[in-house]
Amino acid sequence: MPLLQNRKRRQQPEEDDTQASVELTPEPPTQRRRAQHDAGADEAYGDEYSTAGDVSLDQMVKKLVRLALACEHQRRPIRRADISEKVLGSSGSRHFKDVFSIAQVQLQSVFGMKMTELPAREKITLQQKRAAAKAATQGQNSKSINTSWVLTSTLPSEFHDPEIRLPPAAPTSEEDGKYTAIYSVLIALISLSGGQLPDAKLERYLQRLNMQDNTPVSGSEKTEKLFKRLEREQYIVKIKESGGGQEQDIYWVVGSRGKVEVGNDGVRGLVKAVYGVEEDDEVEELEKKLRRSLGIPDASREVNDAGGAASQPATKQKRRGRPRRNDGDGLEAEDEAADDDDDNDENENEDD
Amino acid sequence: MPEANEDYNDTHRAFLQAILSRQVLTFEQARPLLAKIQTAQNPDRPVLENDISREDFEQHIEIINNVLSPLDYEIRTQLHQKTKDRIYALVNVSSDALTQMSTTYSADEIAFLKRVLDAIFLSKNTRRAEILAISGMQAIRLGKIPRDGGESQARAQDLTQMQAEQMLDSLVAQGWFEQSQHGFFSLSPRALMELRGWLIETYNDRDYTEDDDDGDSAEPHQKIKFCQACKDIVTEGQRCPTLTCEARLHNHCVRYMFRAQGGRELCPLCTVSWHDALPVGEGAARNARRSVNGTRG
Ligand SMILES: [Zn+2]
Ligand SMILES: [Zn+2]
Repeated sequence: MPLLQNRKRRQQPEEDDTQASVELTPEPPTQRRRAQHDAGADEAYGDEYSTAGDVSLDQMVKKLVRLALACEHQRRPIRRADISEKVLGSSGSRHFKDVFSIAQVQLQSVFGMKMTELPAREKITLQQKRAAAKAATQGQNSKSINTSWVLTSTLPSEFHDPEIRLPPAAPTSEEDGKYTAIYSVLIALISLSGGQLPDAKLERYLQRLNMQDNTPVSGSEKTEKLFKRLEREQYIVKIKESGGGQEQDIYWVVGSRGKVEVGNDGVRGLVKAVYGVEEDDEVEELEKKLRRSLGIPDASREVNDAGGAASQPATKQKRRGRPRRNDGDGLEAEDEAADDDDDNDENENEDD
Repeated sequence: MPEANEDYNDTHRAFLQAILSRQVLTFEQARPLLAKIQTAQNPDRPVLENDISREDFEQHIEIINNVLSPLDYEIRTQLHQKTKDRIYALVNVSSDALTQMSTTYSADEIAFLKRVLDAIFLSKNTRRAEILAISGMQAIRLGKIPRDGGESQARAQDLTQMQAEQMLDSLVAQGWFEQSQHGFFSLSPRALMELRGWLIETYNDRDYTEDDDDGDSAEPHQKIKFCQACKDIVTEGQRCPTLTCEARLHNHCVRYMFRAQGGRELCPLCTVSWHDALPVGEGAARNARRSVNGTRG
């Protein structure tokens, strides 16, 4: 079989004894393409920033914009360390501020997006607080190098529609829809419980969703694995706190990415979009929605229009009876909730 | 402020976000999307799906492309060679798809992918049979690095059968490969758009002597061939019955070619009758078994 190494290298003469993947040059020349294209856009764009002799700043900005999009596509945060390594290079670190702020402007003007800093991990437990205090006294400043960002939309809320912008695609949109449905509901559950959801309670929800062991998300079929991923991607975070005695308190909070991507607005939007109600303690409803969007049959009731609910907000229902607004602290999420008016909801998704 | 174009507004940004979050879009998918976006921009004047003409859509894309081009992205379009759907994809112009993929796949997986691509475009693409696709079995077998493979693969590791299967599944899921009913893997339209430059550079621009036994390889067999009508790459379609002739056509381009020739149904290059045209693509695998001369079965 003819091998790659025979390939002529026009751009980058280099040793030919490298392996296949090495020839995938990370920095292909861009000039060919740009030359072909109408120069007008180029000028209106790049030249504004590249004062004479500052071509590289322009290049760095472009690299950062492209890095941000690539990371977003893979649902990875844009890490400060990656920017140093892949964008600024060894000599460019002093340009960080300039490059970053210009890239922000470009992301916003072209894509309607911006890099939003992920909140640093909160120091929640006593141990974490102690560790942080200790690090601070020792003068360790890990903040800047650990900073990371995700892309968020800057478009007006009218455009924030899952039918316009699908959840980030990895690995496939359908799989992603399931994953998104799960973390959205988990974040909603945590938020509606006042920000902390005891592990035992989470366990109960999972049982009711028939997800205590297995999940419908391919690649994360084991619930344990799915939660590892949720934690790794900072959607939700598990906190263990030993309260002095033998007892260990285990509960879940919303992670940094969860706050940025879903957040309170997302939770409010979710609840409102699906049920046509303002925030209310409709945990049961959330479960139903999740079951539907995951296609999990609901044994207790015959309401199943398997799938699709996640992306198809229900038509506005009549407002529910209880006008009580949830002030965010406390959710009586017990089983008796909202069972009484279920019958009205049977067809809520049918005619949209 | 790089407001490159005063026509560029939130409807374009929202459309970009939409296409970024999908891999590809067809016009039919884009219509309700654009209608929704334009309605969001102007809630007082709701736009319906049917209000979006092809022209509106193309213009929308043109404006976006003008703004995107300095960043080396472009929305490109191509007809799907099998379904004939017009596919639009946001294409990374300056770094090829393999470079992008190398951030998600391991070096060994990329090396495997390269072996599969080499098979599709070299050993499964000879003068006698331009199959340009590979069966699942053959692809999985490439998980093992051929021991005569020389040094370029020396540092890569074999993939197990399961790893190779998973990689192929993933390539299909991510929209780079397509798998046919008969289990053949070929490149998706999006992959062809993203890899166009790379394919030409890798497989056409080099001294390459064919390793099949056609015997008559005095002239090199050009590996990546283009449609005489639309100029896109042909990996599925028809070829001139003259085996040494370079003319290729997509199935959906044949009638345009004939029309352009005033109704004469001849090869545009060597003027032999096109009626005995040979298949390019998976069909060539079956055809090759039956006949070498191109009499159709
Ligand atoms: Zn064609
Ligand atoms: Zn011909």
